Amino acid sequence: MPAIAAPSKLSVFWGRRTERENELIEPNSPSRRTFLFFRQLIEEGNSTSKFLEIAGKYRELRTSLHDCNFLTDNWDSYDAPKPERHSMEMAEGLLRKLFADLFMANRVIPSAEGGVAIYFNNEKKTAYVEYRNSGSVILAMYDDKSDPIIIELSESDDDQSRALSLIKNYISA
Amino acid sequence: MPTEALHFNKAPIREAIIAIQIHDLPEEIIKEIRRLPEQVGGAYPKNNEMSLGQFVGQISPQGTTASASQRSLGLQFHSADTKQLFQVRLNGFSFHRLAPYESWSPFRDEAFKLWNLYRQIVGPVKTINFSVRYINDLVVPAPARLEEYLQVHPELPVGMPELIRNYYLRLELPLEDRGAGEGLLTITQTLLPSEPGTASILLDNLFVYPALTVSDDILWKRIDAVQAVKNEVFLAALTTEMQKRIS
Repeated sequence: MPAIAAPSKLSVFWGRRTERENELIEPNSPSRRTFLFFRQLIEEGNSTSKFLEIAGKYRELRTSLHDCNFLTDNWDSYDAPKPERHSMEMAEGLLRKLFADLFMANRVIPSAEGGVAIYFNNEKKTAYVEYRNSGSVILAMYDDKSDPIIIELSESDDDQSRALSLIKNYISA
Repeated sequence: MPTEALHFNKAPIREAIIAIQIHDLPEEIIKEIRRLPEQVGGAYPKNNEMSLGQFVGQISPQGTTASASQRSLGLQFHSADTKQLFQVRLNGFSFHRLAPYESWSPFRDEAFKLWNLYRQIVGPVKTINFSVRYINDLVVPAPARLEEYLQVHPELPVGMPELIRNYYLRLELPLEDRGAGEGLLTITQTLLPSEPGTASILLDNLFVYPALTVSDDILWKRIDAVQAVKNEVFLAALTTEMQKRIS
């Protein structure tokens, strides 16, 4: 195996075709040639994971949910109450369940009724679960061709799983 | 000699990928690729088109110009439960298995089957490289010391704060030829979103090997040889304690 230069010579940033390329591995070793050949391809490979795409979306939606903490009453100028902590905790629970199942929503937004809604979309269909401050949980699924499906759920774990299953079937069908 | 299977009851694999990169095929092959849904059948009922967009902007003393272009790259297919997907592109092929991951054999066999379908459709190809990638999500109690669970981890000197809110570690390590050819291992670690009281550590092991215009037979023999290498690297990355946690 090739020798590796002293840690002090390790460069943090490797630009293309810079002299720094020589610092890591012996100039004439087969491994160095392999390394140069593959650098760009490795970068391309790093962008293809479905799991990392889902994890990135999960992180983004948690941030959106967290941002709801900063809303005040009348945040939409139409007297909408701010989302209460309990609604946000329920929404966070559903997001966790989605991530564990490697199925991710598209958006998290505050509800004009008071609460938080998690939206799922594909090209033609939309579904959302709305956790209201009142404690009610609404699942809605609709498209532009048929009547919307509205289901009232409880906050139980079983109903959360049921909502997830119904949405997956609807959106994926 | 077949490689001994490595199995953990609570395997942390969130995604496994076999990918083969090829020299760009002629644009007209995209028509052939669009015929693939008929042949794939019910196992992968959904597909969507993949395209490559390019924006070019130039600023010069003579003025500013901008142009945009888009071209079809291929198709991505999903299984009904969305746990398996594969991509057929003008520049390559990849098969992805999301959790739950069973074992190497069914994973590799499905990839092999789909690769053959792809080859039937697109005809001769010139391979460039192949890769095998395992993306793991290691869940450990938090707060805890990384070295209790990982053999590869960042070390901080005395005098620095001890708690890590997040970190990103990336190692690129040349691989000796052990049947798959000389290659390059890229290990990436960072923290993923986690449940309260736990930390989820991403352990992403990417094995890339050059495979310049090799036959399918040799290509898949070399892919098979990665199984032993990836098992060894995975085990070496974990402490005994972490291995117990996923057993």
